[in-house]
Amino acid sequence: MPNEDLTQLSVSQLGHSIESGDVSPVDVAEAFLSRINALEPQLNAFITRVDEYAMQAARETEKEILRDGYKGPFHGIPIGLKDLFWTKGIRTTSGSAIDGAFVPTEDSAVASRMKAAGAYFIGKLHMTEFAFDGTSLNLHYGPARNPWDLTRMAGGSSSGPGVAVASGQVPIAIGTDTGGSVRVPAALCGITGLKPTFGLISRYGVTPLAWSMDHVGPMTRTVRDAALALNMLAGYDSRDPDSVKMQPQNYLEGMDRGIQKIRIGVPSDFIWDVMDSDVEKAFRAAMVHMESLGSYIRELSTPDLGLINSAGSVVQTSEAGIIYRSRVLNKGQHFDPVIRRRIESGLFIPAEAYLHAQQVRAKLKGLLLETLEEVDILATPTTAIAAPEIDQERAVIHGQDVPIREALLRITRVFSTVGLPAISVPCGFTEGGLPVGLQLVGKPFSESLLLRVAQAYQESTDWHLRRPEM
Amino acid sequence: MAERPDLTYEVFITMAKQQGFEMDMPHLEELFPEVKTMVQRMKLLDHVDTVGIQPGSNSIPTDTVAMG
Repeated sequence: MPNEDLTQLSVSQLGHSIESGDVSPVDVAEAFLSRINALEPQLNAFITRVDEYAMQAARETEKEILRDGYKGPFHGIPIGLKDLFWTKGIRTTSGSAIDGAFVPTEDSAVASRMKAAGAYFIGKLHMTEFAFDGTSLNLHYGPARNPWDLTRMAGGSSSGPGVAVASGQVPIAIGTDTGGSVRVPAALCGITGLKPTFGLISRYGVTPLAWSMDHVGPMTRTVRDAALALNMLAGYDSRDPDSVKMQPQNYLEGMDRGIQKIRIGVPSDFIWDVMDSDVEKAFRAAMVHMESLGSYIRELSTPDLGLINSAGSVVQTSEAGIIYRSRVLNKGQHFDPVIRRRIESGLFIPAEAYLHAQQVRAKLKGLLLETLEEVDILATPTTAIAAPEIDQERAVIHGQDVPIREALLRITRVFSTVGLPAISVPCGFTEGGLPVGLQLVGKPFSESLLLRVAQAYQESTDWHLRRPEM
Repeated sequence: MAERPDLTYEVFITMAKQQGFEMDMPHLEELFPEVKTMVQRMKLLDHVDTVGIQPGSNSIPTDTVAMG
């Protein structure tokens, strides 16, 4: 198989090729490194390249497979890591200048689990500074560009993972999601992004933004790859205080059972207050398609999602404020001024307001879980708009002048705030040729069902198979 | 909950001093609108009755939810 073709395969397909001996891990590494070399000047998906490390890891993996046998679907697979996962001996900037020379002395839980599965990382990927932005702008490392249109942003904060997976620079990447940072770039770049239930994947060795809202999640070409990644990454870790103890599950099991009689609820308000017409059209078409697969679609009234969003914003900003307090106060000039002000605003949130936001969060989460008893999953567009121009600050949507960051994050943040599992899959394109994301949201720890529904949709559509012309 | 007052610039500066901010006035003038926006969000939440509700985080006890 020509090297270039390898970069178009999913993890699942690459794994089969490696297992059968059709291709070697070294072939795979060479193919992706060649693709990175060709595209990186245009895309800027990487903060740190580790080409030699990756080639060496691929050679060792190749020997390992010959010597000890093939150990599973990630054996010999290169993975891109958002640059806030600690990687032993390799710098981890968290998208900042302040940590520009930080070299961790140990691996994050994610990096450890990857290595144990036989994978290796092929680079540290672009992100917004300390993950506190939904765009793909970064004052220190330049903007990451959307492979579907280089004049447009890729979404964030896991911008590099979105770009690198969509462009075939990596077959899979791992990101984090505090207000939508896995799902937003997944939607804007036309890939699959999964934010599991809070606590399912360990955050040990992840630079924090907001303790009670940070999630780790895979960004992939396909839903099947997301399930494979969850199998690899999920599990209890005593080093993360919010890690949950659960029986290990095989998330591939039951994925192909279809969605006959699955009840899908579409929130009837909030979501539609700010919504681009092309995005809504693609979403409505996706719901018609879901119905054709045997599921029941119904609109339903939800608790005030806008209030959940506001509570999430107060909680996130307050927690970020305390995490970065000494840095913004003592080294503020090293931050992007926009990010600096966002963090600093958290220092003006009084304790009573933070606790009240947590009360609101608890109350509305309870009400939302009650609503979820009426259906099996919720469906929404992932974002209110498709990818904006790189420097765009605001958008006019049906006459409303809306800040870009609000348009990108207002829907996803709701479900980070309440910790529910959510996945974004491609569901169409705008008239201008930009990808649109469909978000599916489940009950706590219902990832198997969520993946099953997403898989049924993806297997019967071809949006995820379309590639940007690069 | 009692109505939260609007944040005045004077109160903002006092709070900034208490927090240990340098009195870099151009920076603080740029920060002020950001903080006012955050206060507006807090005001939105003030209307929600939360009497008797324990502040929640995101942790979900696994023994209360169905697996799979």
